[in-house]
Amino acid sequence: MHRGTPSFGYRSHNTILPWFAPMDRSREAADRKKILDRCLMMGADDLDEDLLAEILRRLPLKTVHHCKSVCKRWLSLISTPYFINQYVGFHRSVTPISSRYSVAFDLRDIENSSFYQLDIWKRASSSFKSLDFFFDFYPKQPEHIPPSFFDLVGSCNGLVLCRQLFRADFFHEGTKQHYYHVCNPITRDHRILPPPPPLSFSEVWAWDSVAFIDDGGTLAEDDFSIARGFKVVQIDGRCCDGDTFNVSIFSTSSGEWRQLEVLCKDPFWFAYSYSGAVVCCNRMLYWVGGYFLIGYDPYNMSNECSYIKLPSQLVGRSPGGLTIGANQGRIVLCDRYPKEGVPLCIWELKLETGSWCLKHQLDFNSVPLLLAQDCAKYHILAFHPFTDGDILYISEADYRIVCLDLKNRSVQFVAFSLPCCRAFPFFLPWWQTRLSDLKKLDEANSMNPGKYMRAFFF
Amino acid sequence: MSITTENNEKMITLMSSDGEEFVVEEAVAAQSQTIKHLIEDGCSTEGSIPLPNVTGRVLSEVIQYCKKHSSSDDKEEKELEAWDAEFVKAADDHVALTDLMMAANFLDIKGLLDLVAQTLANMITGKSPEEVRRMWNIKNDFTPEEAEKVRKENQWAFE
Repeated sequence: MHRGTPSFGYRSHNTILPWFAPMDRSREAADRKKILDRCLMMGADDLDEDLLAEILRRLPLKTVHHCKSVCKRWLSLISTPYFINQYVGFHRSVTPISSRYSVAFDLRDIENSSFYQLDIWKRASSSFKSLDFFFDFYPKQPEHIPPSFFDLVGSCNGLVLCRQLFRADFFHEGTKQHYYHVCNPITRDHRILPPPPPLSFSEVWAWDSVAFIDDGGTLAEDDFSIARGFKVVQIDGRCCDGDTFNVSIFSTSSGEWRQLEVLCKDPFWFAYSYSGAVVCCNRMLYWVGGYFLIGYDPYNMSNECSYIKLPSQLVGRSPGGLTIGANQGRIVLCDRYPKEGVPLCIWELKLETGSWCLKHQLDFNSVPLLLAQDCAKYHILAFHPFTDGDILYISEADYRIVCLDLKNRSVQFVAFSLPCCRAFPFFLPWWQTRLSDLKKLDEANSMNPGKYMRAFFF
Repeated sequence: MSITTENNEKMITLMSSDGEEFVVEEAVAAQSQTIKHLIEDGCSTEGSIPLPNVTGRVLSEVIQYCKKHSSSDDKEEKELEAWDAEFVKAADDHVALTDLMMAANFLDIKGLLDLVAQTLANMITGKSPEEVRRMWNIKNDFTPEEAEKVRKENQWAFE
């Protein structure tokens, strides 16, 4: 099985000196005997931890998890924070961080309400690569329960926030009650959050919007060995009187919802179809309301928000008439429904000065053929979170999703979608974000059987 | 004693654990940080450098690698990659590669260590835990209950 004299590994480079000392021949012989015995079991056990880690950290994510089942030594090695950080460090150095960012779509299967797919589009050299996640790990909705909306509303650290909306008339007269679920589409693990404070508004056109963000602050940015916490920020869409509006924040560190009344100096509301209305950028949440870009700091939980005037060209759009996004840590904005014959303009916010600059402009005399076909009816779905000038639009004629590269004036077909397509940025982490270390929310809920039952309507 | 060749290239002698001697150019041997430091510290002047945990067979492979990599410059990167691929293929199995990796680690030759580690990782990729155990001759020391628990926790990776 093994040829030659096996080498015996010194544990590190620091132990150079001993073998310069005159060798004790009898000890050497004994050592060799020992090694020869071990020789029969020669293999990976021969490698010290550092060398074994050197090999294992190069494995793909799934294989390295298969390897946990090999033996106890491998399991304990792969489970150490040291190894996980080494693993992430290695993969980060060989795959550029930009290739881990993408846009995810919520493609809803209308026929089967408990079946969801999350498509992650990653631009490979010439085509798009899709990672499909099927949300079939959710239990089926019992038949006696009327169907409810179930949306994928955001993503953070590889986790996906799902929102389940019960019809207002079903549970509470005149109120809306959402339930939020957080799942990891990679490990197919999921948790339910405690019920948030109900939204109490009667206007049918006013909807809330939600942001899903890192809990922030307490963890080192690149320490993937620790389960990362998150916050869910639910912003009440009713603020028509320009007085106050409600913000409810759930954070994993507290395990509960906190409701705040935030002063509002200009009315705003969200339109339902408008996905991604609230964008997180540099630890601030931004959304469009009236004449302003409204900024709120969810980490400070203050009762004030900031107002930045919109570019004058974009003022006066209907709710949801603008598409907002974050690109490389900057807020970008454009018309959601560009008019035929009018140049498509992308505005970028200079946070330092609070002023807008026209980042890209696409004249329709020079549009690529594919876009020319769509010009009459299309809308801007999302901005690429990392690549400057890449936007996704959806053709309303046949629900094609197309990537438009404004820098090179080129278009590329991405996929066929559905009318109710939603898009949000998705970051594929190098190591899976664990939910197991978070509060066992379903257990917490089981303390109250009524809520528990409701919470599990899928 | 150090020997000098006609082109004034300083030669040094490396001695393997089984007493085999290899005379190589200093520039080749210095690919190994460990040897480089020894030379700098003057450890080679007295005679050959003993490498008591590298066998002759492994050492000859290591020297082959170092020779190739000290004579090539960056322009030949593609050719060097192809050569590397052939080189690890010639090492033919994981046992030989494991020896090579330990030698690369001990001698501190980063390029070789990376190359061999990646080759071994590629050999593991896609293999089931049982196949990995067989390949490395590892004993499964889990009780059935423990094995089931680990498997359940990582079920997603098997789907």
